[in-house]
Amino acid sequence: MQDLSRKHPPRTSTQLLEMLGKDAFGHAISGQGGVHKLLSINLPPIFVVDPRQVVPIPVHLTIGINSRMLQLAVESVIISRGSVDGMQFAYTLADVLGKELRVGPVPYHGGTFIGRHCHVIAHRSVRNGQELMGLLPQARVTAYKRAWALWSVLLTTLNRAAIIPAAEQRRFAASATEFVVLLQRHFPWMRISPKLQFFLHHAVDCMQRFGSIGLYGVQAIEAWHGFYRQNAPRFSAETELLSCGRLMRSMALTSVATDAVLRLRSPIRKRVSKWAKRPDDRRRQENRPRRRYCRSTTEKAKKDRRRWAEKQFEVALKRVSSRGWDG
Amino acid sequence: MGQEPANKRLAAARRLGVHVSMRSPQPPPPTILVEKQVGLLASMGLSHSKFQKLRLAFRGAVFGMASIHALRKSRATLSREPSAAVSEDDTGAHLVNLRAALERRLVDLCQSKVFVERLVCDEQGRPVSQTRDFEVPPKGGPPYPDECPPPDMRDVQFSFGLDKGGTPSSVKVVMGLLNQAHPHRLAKSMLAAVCPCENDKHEDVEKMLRTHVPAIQDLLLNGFVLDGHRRAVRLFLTGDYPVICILLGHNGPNETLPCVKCLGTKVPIKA
Repeated sequence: MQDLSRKHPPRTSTQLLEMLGKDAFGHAISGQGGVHKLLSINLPPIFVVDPRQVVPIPVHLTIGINSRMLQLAVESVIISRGSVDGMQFAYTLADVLGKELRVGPVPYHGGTFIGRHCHVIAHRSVRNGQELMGLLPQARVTAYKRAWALWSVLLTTLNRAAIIPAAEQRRFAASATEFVVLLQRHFPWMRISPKLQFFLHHAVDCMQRFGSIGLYGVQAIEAWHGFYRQNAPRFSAETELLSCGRLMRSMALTSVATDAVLRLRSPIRKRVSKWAKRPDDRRRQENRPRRRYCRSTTEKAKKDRRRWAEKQFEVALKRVSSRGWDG
Repeated sequence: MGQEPANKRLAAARRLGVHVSMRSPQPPPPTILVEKQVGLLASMGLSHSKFQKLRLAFRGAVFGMASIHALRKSRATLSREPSAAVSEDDTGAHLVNLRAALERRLVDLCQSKVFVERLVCDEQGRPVSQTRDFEVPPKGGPPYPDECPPPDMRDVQFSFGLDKGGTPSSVKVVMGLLNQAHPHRLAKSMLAAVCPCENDKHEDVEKMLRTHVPAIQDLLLNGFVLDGHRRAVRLFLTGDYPVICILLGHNGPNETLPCVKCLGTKVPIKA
């Protein structure tokens, strides 16, 4: 999807109903659902909802765009300097992220950075792109740094589970447009994926209509996988189906005592000092002593970083060669 | 010999002639009902025997910590209630009565006064206050033409999503109640089904959701009654992009019209 200059007509729930061969009252209709009406919906919809109420997947946008931004740097180096320098740059990038920013990829979600690590990378946007100096034309390095700066601002609004003020929403819309236009102009081989298009047009629309995107996030769904794995001994049974049954029975009982019960008994007290403002505050990362790890952990982290770098390089090389881009 | 006074500190103050304030003592905090204690233990994964040890060690009976007998009795009663009933079939384990489970949570939120109204904004971005109740159409059919309640109608907002993951792999179907603070937290969401599976293709998901789809359609058609007001149900679809495509019957991001929200084309069309 490269055409971002205009908004496209929205999908409607009526189109989904037509695919089911029904009208708005649930009556069967004939002659509908023909090839000219498919609109890329080839299977009967399981749910018919207003497409405006499809949540613009903030968690996946964060993970996906963050990952794409990092790959973009490797692709740029491959295009400008060749694959050897590209590989070298990927290793350097992995070391910077792991040693300086202290973030690491996870083994799920496609082996990328998730959650807080995405925010750390974005908020240290000044640091991102320093290794590109001398490898890329100055204009492209500046554009890359500007893109990170914009992304760090966008990320805060995108993931905040609160109603966003109107002024911030307008700022978000303007920054999102600038971000995508900047990437399109300075990295012309970059394909605008549906995710990026989702981010540019529909995230803004959703925020303007419902006041927030972060409130509608999918963290809970993802967290259930972790909960099930961490509590596996509690729910173990002869078969996997019975284990699932145990989990469901246990969780069905929890519905009688939600968090609301605890809140009634112990209202939340606001912390006096939320942020570490003093330069000598021991909560600051620079004042905290470095955690000491055993050698095997350090070796594993190093191996993981190398694996991540190799994967980024492979993906970037494949993408560059498939587009036939020669710089 | 005289009887030992119950409050030694008060008696000592009187002996010394110190003025003792006649302020009424602080009311004790309300005790948590036994069924709520069962729910809390289930959410924490604390066994009855461990709970009993804590109860004995800290004199919990004084503060209303239930006995093992009471907990077991309450757990058995709760398990028979429609809101906690679970069934297993060939696809996985499912909540039997989605409406009852959601209703229980909503009532709990209202009673605890943590129910948050989520207002929908108009075209100018101004929040529209919700002034009218939802009315079930007398002759059946959809209550509103575009499957979307009007902004000025009282509503409750739910999210519905699923995701395949974990080891061994299973699909978790999760419903979120958005009318509360931090609705995306695990403890504030509700597990509707867990289905062990290797694939989450359209036909697999259709089978998994065959009991839940009619229940959700019933919610959309009839709404909820809360505090004397009938509220419409505003349903949000959530999950990753492939899941949303599956739920809407869309072919995925490689199609000619790859977006599930608009009719933007993959390749630019020349005007």
